[in-house]
Amino acid sequence: MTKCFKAEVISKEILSDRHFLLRLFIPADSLRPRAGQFYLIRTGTSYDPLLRRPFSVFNWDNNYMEFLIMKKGRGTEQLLQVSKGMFVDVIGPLGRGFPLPERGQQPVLVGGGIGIAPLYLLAREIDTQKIMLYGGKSRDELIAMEYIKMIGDTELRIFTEDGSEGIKGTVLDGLREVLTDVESPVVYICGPGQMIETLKGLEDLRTDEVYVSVEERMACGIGVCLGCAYPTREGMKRVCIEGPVFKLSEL
Amino acid sequence: MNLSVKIGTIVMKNPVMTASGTFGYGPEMAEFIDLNALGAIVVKGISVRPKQGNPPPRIWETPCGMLNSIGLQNVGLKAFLRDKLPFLRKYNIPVIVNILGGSTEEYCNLAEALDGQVHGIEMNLSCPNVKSGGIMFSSDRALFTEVIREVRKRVKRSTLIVKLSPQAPVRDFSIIAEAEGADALSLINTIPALAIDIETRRPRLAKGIGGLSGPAIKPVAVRMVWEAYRSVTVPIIGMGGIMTGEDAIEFILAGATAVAVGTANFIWPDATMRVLKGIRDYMQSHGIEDINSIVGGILWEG
Repeated sequence: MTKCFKAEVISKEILSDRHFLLRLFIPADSLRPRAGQFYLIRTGTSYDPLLRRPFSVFNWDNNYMEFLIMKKGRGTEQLLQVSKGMFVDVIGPLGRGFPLPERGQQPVLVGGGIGIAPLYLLAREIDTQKIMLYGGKSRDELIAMEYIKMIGDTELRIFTEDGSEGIKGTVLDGLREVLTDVESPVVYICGPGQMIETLKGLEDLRTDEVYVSVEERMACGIGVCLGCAYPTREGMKRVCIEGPVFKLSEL
Repeated sequence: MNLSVKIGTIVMKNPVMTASGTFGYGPEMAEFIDLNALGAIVVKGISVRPKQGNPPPRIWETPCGMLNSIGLQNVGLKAFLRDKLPFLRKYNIPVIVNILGGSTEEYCNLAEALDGQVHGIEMNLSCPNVKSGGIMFSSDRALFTEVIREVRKRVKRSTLIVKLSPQAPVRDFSIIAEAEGADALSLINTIPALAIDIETRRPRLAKGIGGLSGPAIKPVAVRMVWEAYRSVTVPIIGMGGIMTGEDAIEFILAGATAVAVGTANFIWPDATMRVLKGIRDYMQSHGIEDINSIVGGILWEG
């Protein structure tokens, strides 16, 4: 099984002026990802931009996988230039993903903006009923809705800070409310750094079963550069190896 | 075709090494390449006590390069000897340990503990000396001279390598290192650099200044290797932005006996193997029988 390979681009679906879905063939001899794991992708032969870019998996099936990508800087802009039939340079799957719920636990998935990417795959991996909270500053941050609405067995609640779609408020407001209602919840969260910081400050979540996917600038993705160190209760941990999913109580 | 080179008493099957801090302690990379194919492995710098390193963000990409400010995070001497070294001993490759100290005594303690345990000891002198108010060992003549002299007394079996900073005058410091008994020199270390977020007006890295590496620094490194080569007779390990075999050949022509691959490991885990293949291809296509025959082979007197 190889973790380094060239992957052919199947399609690039433009979802908004800033978001696109990149679909790649997976070679038969490569490992299959778990929700929350990520891949490093590089395209072109130039040294500028130099480093690979990490993306969590949005979805995969027998012979393909999909990445939900937000145009943010030079790396993602370059990726937006790829087209069907081109090959990109891929390493993965990397890191530790989300643990699946145990029997009797009520899964609650909480995604902010582009943070929905790994949660979509997780929602598909969980074959029992789940609650999904998805939010953004305004409706244009709610991406891939047509995909998310199609996930089976899911109670979907939408939040926007400006009230332009769904409930006015944040997903963390929504989470607090959900946690007062459900028995033995297990919570999965991915969102911007600010959301994770707010989450750490929340008292009494009424459960210890909270898993967070965090983000940090990363060079190698395989544990050698120590660039993606993240402070935890047990000292610095590497987002690429010990993460990107951590138990909230570890942070 | 002979690719074998000698650095001090270390015989390497080829001139390709890893640059400290870009290859972990080995196991992470063993998943991607056959470590036995390397000329030598240089592990992450070790200090007497474990170090947590700096807060994030620790890295920032720049044109054809990257800044890092890891803060010398490492497991410490004791854990290295106990947990990391046994793994490396299973391989048939020379192991070189990069050492970091806050004082001459710390460098000496590390050298004493590692002498004979590993094939080579590389002194990373781009560390502040706590006792002299944070002046770098690598840029202060007196400190540089003293620390090498003291460490030399304690390194009796391993090969002693002194890593030079790009901030110090290369000729003078190469000559000092050789005179104080260094068996080899390695250069260059990263170049101190700064990137600023113009929105927040804050540095991009939590610690402000970081070390620049990658292809962006290669011409600086090649020039410094060339200067060192003209100043000393001990072998030189060249590094700084080596991505390909062609880059490695450039360093060898400038005077490097061996080369170290650094930042490229972050982009291709098998970067060392790509560089090695590129060196072989060049030798083949240019009819070179022995890699040693082109060390310092630049056709220019300067």
